[in-house]
Amino acid sequence: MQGMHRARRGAAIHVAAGVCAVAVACLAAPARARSPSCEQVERYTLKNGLEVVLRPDHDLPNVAIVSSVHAGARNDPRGYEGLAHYVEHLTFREAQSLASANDLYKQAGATGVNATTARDTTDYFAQLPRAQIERGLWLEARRIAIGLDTLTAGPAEEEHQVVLREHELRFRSDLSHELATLLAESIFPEGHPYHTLGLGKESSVEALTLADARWFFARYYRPDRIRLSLVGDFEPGAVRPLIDKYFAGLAARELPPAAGARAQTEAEVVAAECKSSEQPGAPLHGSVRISTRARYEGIAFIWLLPSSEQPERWWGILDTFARRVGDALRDAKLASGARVDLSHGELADYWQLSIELLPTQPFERVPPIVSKVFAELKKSPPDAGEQNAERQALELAESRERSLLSRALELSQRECRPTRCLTPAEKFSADTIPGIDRFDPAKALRLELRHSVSASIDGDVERVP
Amino acid sequence: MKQRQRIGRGLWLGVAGVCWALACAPARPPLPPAPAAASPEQLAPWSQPPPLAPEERSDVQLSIKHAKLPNGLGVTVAVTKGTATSLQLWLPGARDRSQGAVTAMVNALRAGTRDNSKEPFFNPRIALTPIGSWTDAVGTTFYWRVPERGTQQALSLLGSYVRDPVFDQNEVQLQLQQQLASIRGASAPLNQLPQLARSGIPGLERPSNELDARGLFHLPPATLQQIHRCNLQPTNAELVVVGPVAPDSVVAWATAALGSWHADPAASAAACADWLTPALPEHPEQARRDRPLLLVIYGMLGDPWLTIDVPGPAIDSPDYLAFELLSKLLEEHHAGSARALRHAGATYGIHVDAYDRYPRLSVLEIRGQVEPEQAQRALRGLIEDIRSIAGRLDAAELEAVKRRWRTETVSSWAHSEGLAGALQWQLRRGHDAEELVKVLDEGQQIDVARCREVAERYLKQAQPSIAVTGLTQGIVKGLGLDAELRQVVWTDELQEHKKVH
Repeated sequence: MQGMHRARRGAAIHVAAGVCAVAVACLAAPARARSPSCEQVERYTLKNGLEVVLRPDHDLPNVAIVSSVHAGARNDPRGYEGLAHYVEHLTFREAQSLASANDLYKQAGATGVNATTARDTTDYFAQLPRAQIERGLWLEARRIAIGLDTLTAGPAEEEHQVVLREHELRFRSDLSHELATLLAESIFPEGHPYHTLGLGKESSVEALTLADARWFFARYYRPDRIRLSLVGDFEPGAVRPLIDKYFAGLAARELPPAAGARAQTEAEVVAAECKSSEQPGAPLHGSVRISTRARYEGIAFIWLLPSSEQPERWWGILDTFARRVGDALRDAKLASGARVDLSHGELADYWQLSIELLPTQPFERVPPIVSKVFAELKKSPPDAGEQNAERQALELAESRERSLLSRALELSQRECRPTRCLTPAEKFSADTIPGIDRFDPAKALRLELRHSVSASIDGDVERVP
Repeated sequence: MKQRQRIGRGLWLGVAGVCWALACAPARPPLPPAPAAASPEQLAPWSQPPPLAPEERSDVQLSIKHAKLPNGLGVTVAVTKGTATSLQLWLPGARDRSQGAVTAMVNALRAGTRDNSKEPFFNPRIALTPIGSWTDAVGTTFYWRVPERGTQQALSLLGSYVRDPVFDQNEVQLQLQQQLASIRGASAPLNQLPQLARSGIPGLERPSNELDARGLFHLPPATLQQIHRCNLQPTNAELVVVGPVAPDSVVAWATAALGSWHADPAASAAACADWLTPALPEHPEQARRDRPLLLVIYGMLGDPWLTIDVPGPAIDSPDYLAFELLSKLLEEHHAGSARALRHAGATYGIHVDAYDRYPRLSVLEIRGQVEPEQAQRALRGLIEDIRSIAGRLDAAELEAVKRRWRTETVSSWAHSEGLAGALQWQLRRGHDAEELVKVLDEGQQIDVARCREVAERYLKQAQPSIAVTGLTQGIVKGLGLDAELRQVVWTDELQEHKKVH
């Protein structure tokens, strides 16, 4: 239903920056929005492989529930792009005599009832009054238990139309989605699971059928690919028996093995999927220029990271870089600031520096200034005072209270390799300063968004290798 | 080598697409068959959900203190856990109809302000975070999230902001350029659709953001100073501070920073005539159109987008909460058009909200995108829903909506910025900030009879203001609405209104 999330931090841009900044930020659609959660949680696994994560918090009388399926857009078979997203939609439909999950949730006073199909996972979520937690658990277990078995062609086709409508509404008429698609193709090589943005083009979505969706559901919606996360006002001792009651009996659906293939355990399949994360972060080159009639202009620099690294450790030095770039561009009256974002995924991470130009300012003056600031950063790295100020900013960002739902969603994040939560101090470690070379603007993919009255009504794209 | 590619839906691409689909495309490898469906016996346990638990009484505890300084400034402090403080200073006098002169002045405050030693500073930051601001029809809010240890400093800087601006010429130009960039970025037709629809409500007629923006560069620092002294006054202003703070300390810091702030004698009614946003007439929610207004926007691609607006009670009216619940009922109503259109695949979703950020009225707003063949049905059905909701209220549906409203309300208090916003909302309602929790009981007490009464008052004879894109002349003519029709032509530069008949 909803699209993908992104992690976003302002470096030196004020809040009222508006759509223009958003459009530039959206140039790089994230592989994944959330950084690893730092919450202290209870984790355990049921016998059928279903993972449970519990985080009690008694401040307010609500509970957030997330059931996260470890299968997302990257699992769409070739030619079936958009299938994971279609399945997500179908699981909300009424099936014969059964009331829809949406209605049953809402009857219980749930809000935020929705789901996202991201690249790595499909996450279903809701927030309920604490008294109705059993209803939420039952509904999430029912989603897996009944699957799409009771769904008939009529409602499935209606939902198919809704998905196509969503493509029109959210993706086709949204420039940032088109840009993100182009960016994914530019960053990740052909064959990489992230090479396509993953929500499919209308042509591939149009061809999807209920039978395709049933196969996908049977293949991936199995207990050993599901993680159930609860955050909020509950007692673990009271909730564990309910989880057992509704989830312990769930089983994977039997699928015939693929011809000629050795039978693999699901753990082996997931390990094989993680092979893509071992690809080194090759330097990116070239530019993608997009000209549109939209009246805003921006430029972004993108660096892919080897996935063996902990990407958050670069926050401090890159925030400093962005702030200095922002100050230099302000002095030159070219832009009001700059900011960095981390796009974090199970299989790859990349950093992005985004700049929104002030109206009618010459585009060409920006890259030399960014390069000059970078050279100066290497020559005079942040001193103790600047580092300290940056750590305070990181600490402030870290202390931001999040909704129960956001926290539960963070807990659904998957990692191919074990990572740990970094403290604000670790996000600006002095030992990252000598490593700044890898963020040389000359080694970045440059994305330019330009205004042109002569652009075609939907925009023109030019790739410069 | 440059590779040039055109994105879009041009005719040539369409032709190429057909060729690809029919002849050139490789066949998709078939997927393996799905396993057999679960048997009825396997599905039986999932036919009935566990019963709902009984409703709980509200046991939310909030620690809130409110004080009034002698100059009329209210100070509300809510104590929470965590390590950061959220501050909001709401100035109801500094309001703007769109992004006009007051917004420009508020942005230009970043262009220099004097601190206690009279040294000017620019765009102050605490822990690298600057002051944020937004200005709309109910005033200006400055907001800031700072480490708890920075609370006193933040209050002091906020005090300087409202008392001693410099408006440095060079910085002003930069800030105004930035505002223009923001306006342009937001000036796409879809962003403007709600504004256009609302402009059809009596009292909310307004120029476009673009037109306002063109006058911004003619605002010299002296003029900005005058706009500042006319609009930023402590009377009825409210400071809300939420965080791990001691209320008495915050009140003392607020008194030191803002206690001696008074209206400038140079801000006489005559001197400020050009710079004060006119107030809405009394009871604008009762000023009905004699028939609906239909604004048809041409010059956009894609399926029709529609926005339907109806005026309602102001946030401080006793009718407001029921009106808000009615908006949720319209979205969710089992027999309603919003749900039927969604289920038929004619839309990705129809959303209904009560927008309360106008003085003296609120706006019930329906918006969504529908497929062209369903546009007439959607418009007719949604308007009929509005007018007939009073007679179709269902007690069970209302109870479910109230439960969701409660979950949503409580959830918004989970973080300091949300709680600060909720406290400002409570103050705008004219209620005691210390009694915010009571709003849960207030909502709980609204029943079908009360909703019906409010629906009959505001919705039964609604003459909505409607803005739509992507309608053909044929659809407009066959719509069957006795509406005043206006064409709005969207170009790259601005909207041109042309009254048709």
